[in-house]
Amino acid sequence: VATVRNLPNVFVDLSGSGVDGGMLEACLESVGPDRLVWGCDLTIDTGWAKLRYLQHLLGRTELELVSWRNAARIFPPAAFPAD
Amino acid sequence: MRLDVNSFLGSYPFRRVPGTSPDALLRAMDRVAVDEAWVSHLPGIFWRDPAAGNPWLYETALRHERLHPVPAVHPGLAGWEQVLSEAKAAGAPALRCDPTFYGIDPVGSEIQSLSRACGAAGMPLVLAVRLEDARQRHPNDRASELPPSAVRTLIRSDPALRLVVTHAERAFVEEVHFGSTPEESGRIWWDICWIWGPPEDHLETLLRTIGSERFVFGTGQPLRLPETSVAKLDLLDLGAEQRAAIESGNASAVTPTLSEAKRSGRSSKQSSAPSLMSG
Repeated sequence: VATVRNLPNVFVDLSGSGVDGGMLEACLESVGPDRLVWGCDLTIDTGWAKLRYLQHLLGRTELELVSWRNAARIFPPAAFPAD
Repeated sequence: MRLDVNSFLGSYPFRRVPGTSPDALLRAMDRVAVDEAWVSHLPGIFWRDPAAGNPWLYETALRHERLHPVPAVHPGLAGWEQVLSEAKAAGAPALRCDPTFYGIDPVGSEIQSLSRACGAAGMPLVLAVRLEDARQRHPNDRASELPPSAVRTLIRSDPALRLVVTHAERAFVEEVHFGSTPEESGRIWWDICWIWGPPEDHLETLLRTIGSERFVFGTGQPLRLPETSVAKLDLLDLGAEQRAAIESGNASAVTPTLSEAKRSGRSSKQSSAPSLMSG
């Protein structure tokens, strides 16, 4: 994530099996909540766990950015059923 | 009641890990509703003598009622029998040995001697298959992962030995369980932290084929987010009794002496404090 720190058009998704302590802190430190998007890959338990942990790292507004607002912003209109 | 049998205190030598202090661990336990935890001294695993971290671990556990020390022992070093005696006197729920991290043969004569001694002492032995995913380990972190064959060999080394194996995935668990006799596999407990939960069927399958009585709740925190182990149980369709067994009841079967001491209201920590400090 340090590589994309200064690339504002690059977003980082949180999917994958890794659930390392310190991983989410490093993501936030590098790109901040404005450029993180939540994802779970096939391992929903790890994705859900990361979302739960983010609830303790972020305020409500920032959590909404990561959990859906950033995705809604960068994907084309009508990409999501709720659009 | 939720008991984490797989947690650590202290810094990790290969990367920055937040939340390694006792207070931070207790806050993390509160965050995920873990009542009590078996804790080991993380940096000691990488020391020449892992038992050198045990005095700090004992003292820390004495100050925190919710933390139960799982001290480390290197069976190739002089005095390992004393480490076992101290653990027993301290009321430790288990002793840990990580042979590949110590650079010793995981089925060699040293650890087999320890296995027999643990069996005779009624002291469960904790073994970690790994601590981190092989894909991200530091280039100088080259200790081999514990092989399944080592667990099978050790459980056969003494008929009274009980093993708690942490950080094992489904294939590892199946290779050991189905390669052991029913009597042998009945003396092994598996922590769930490295087993895939839903939508993968790994944990669900193991609970059905091997039996939920063989599994105990563990997280690997703070190296891993403890939320993961809770999430995988939440995603499973478990009955209350089955979930309670995994979260705490099965661990009582690993350490019946400790459980009996608690039921009778005796505090093993308080009664053993002098011997702890003398070690």
